[in-house]
Amino acid sequence: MNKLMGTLTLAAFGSLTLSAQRVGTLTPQEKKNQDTAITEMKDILQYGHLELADKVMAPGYIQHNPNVPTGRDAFKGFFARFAKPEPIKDEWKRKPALILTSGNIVFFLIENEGKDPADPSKTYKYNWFDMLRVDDGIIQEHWDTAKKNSPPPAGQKKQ
Amino acid sequence: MRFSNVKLFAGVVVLLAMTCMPLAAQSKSMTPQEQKNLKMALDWWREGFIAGHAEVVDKYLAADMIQHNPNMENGNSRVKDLLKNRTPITPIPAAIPPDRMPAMAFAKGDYVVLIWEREGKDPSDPSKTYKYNDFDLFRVENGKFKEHWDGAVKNPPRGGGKE
Repeated sequence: MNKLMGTLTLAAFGSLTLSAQRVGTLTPQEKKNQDTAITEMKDILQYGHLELADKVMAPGYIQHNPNVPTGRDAFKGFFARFAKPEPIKDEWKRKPALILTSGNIVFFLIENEGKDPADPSKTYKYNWFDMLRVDDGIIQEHWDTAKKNSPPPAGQKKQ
Repeated sequence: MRFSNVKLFAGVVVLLAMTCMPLAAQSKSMTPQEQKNLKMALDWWREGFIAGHAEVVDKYLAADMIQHNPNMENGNSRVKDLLKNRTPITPIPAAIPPDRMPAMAFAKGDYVVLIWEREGKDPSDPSKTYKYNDFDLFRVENGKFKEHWDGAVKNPPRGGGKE
């Protein structure tokens, strides 16, 4: 019994250290959903591999960002202008501050730095979110904080 | 616990579950503690922001809360001051009005996420509106919200209208 408890504690501790920014206990399905979401957020958007969209995104991908058209093909068309494919690495180029996965929802907290409007020589930090819905192993829907024609936050989905 | 109390308790739990269901599609994958954390966030939203009761602030927000909204300082006193400027709604509504519900809400581990759907004026055609999203994120520590994030930018030259 003690041995079992020790193993469980070690397992819990191990998974905490391995994925510090990922929170809570994930079911196997949540882990899969999270990995699928990371393919979009990291491999497609950060490493520029738009061809992976056909693998992980639904043709009818619903887009709530008011500056990006809805649908998988429209997504690819929109980001083709910016994508510069590079070899995909395990590490993020810009690591989310937090990843929360609950059922079919994967939430990313992104920390941004902006110019202080009161003093452009200074910077300050603000936050952004991306959220994906993954059903049947495929990303179906996306939300973020974007407003229409507002200047995109530094480094987020713009080059 | 006497039988009648058990029945009452069960009834309250069912009622709570029913109230939470339409807004928390994720609730089925949450632990009981995560459900409690989510309920705390929705209670805070209802009693604090919707009903404007400054006296509930200490119940929900840690006095030394870490604030990531760049227009707010750390701690909970600024929130109290903001609410004190409002006329509180009494009694506090028992439920969040449908038009002030989050579009999505869930809790994971010590975190609670509320996603809002807002409407803004289209900057290219002010006669039109469009929809966008915003968020609040809380971290729970010792039964209170100890840390808060949202989408606010400093002195925002906002494109869309915020309520």
